Amino acid sequence: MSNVWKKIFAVCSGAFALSGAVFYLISLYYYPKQVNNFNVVEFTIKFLIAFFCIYGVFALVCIYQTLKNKKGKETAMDGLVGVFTKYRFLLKQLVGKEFKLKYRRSYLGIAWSLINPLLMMIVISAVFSFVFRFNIEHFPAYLIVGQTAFNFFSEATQLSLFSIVGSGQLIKKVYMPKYIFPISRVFSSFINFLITLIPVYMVLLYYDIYPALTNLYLPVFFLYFLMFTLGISLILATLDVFMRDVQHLYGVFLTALAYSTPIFYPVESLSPMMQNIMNYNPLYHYLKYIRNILFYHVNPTLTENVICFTLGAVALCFGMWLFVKKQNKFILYI
Amino acid sequence: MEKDYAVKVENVSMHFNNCSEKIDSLKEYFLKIVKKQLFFKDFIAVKDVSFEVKKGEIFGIVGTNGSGKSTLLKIISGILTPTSGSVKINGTIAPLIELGAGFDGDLTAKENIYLNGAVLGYTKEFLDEKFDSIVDFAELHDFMDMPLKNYSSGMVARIAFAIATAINPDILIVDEILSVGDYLFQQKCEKRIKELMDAGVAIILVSHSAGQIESMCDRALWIEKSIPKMIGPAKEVCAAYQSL
Repeated sequence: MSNVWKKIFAVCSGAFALSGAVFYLISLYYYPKQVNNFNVVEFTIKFLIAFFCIYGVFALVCIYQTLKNKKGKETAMDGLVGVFTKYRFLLKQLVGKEFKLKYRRSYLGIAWSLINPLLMMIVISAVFSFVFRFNIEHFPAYLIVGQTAFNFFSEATQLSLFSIVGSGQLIKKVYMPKYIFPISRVFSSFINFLITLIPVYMVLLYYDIYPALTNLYLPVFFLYFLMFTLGISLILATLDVFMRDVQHLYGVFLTALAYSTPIFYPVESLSPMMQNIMNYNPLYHYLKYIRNILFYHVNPTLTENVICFTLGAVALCFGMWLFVKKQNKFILYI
Repeated sequence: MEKDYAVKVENVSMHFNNCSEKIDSLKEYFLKIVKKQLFFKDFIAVKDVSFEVKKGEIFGIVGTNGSGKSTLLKIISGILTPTSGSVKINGTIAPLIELGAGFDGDLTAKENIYLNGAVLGYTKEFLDEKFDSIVDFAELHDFMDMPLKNYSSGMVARIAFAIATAINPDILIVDEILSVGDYLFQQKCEKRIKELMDAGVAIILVSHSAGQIESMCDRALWIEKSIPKMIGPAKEVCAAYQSL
């Protein structure tokens, strides 16, 4: 098993080094235009610190796993990796099933993934262009970027919430890693999210916002956001097994979250105090990140990168810890 | 060291926290705490069971209803984690406990074969290779693209059995003798199980009928009200069980 972690470490280190170099150069290209008194030396030092903090966390995880595996112990991380290696076929089948069932018996099928965000955008931007007005240029484009990202989060977490309870029949009958249920839901939502990026780009092009170098940050954003979403999904799936109240509460919570996250309004329209409070809303940081790279073409700052990574890592670690601690008891409550 | 066992069960116990009622919501939980009605009764489903099944051996488990047979099987196949003790498995295991796990009525039979196969831990290559023989065995060539919800229960059971026995496992777990489909298909199933037996597969057979165990098994375990009563040659155990 420890070979798996050595392989992961080798492959990912290469990816880290490559992406580090790429993003360093992109930053050098963008920063002088964005920041007054830009200092290359100072930036390089800060960049290296941030890079090695993130890389260090990853390296520590790998070392910890290898040591644990040498003792013949399987950890939560092994379970997670196992889902993608040993159980990849099952994961594919489950994700495929979600997809097939979602669009079966509809005439337009998968095209709905493209049409839906456009229709939503038209409705909301109609409301906010005629009824309430905000001073944002290209408002529909601003809207659709944030809206698709938020929809991915809300769809993935809502599906995951039911994933364990809804798979009760399966869990009671055969053995399989229980991780696979929330993970398959998050991934089928993620694929859907990738498809909805097509209409997002269409709208952006319509408003003459052409892809810039900052779009290269998209995979990084996916990584941060997936970590965060998966973490929250694991927490919700676990909680729902023991308290079905979560189902009812979470719908309300999501609505509240949708209003308290700047999806269809600019954060600048809020009072300074509210803007401060907004910093405690994790989704605000993620939406800001994707808007910076797709809509404003602004290079995300180091602080923003560290914030998004940390939020994701903390959510994922806590989610896995909780899930693993409780997973053997699931069967008694479903 | 050569392992000569297929399944090794060591001091396995299973406890359930048996609430007087099932509490699913927070409000109920707090109300019960306030009213001091929250009692946890410790219910022991399986108590301190140990046995070993050798390779190629046919091992029977007898006992009356509710004596913990099925719980024991679920522990062996890894669905339940025992409260204490350990289970060691040497080889691949095919549980014929609940057939058709993960079938989805809205998917076609073909899609379901792949899904159920994945649930049972088969690989894609294996399923591609065995697909035709699975369909042959189930005798449902003309219905492969029909959603499973339109199938009769007998047809569903046929497919489920065909998938479950497609592999040649090292260990086969059978809960009661399967009553699947019509008379002809039942014979086919029995023949298939016999084939697997002859191939030297270790089999764990569970039943409440002593006759079945006696005629098929080498050794047997008698479990009564969660406590293992007797373990030994099938004939002696069944005699003791029947004299109850």
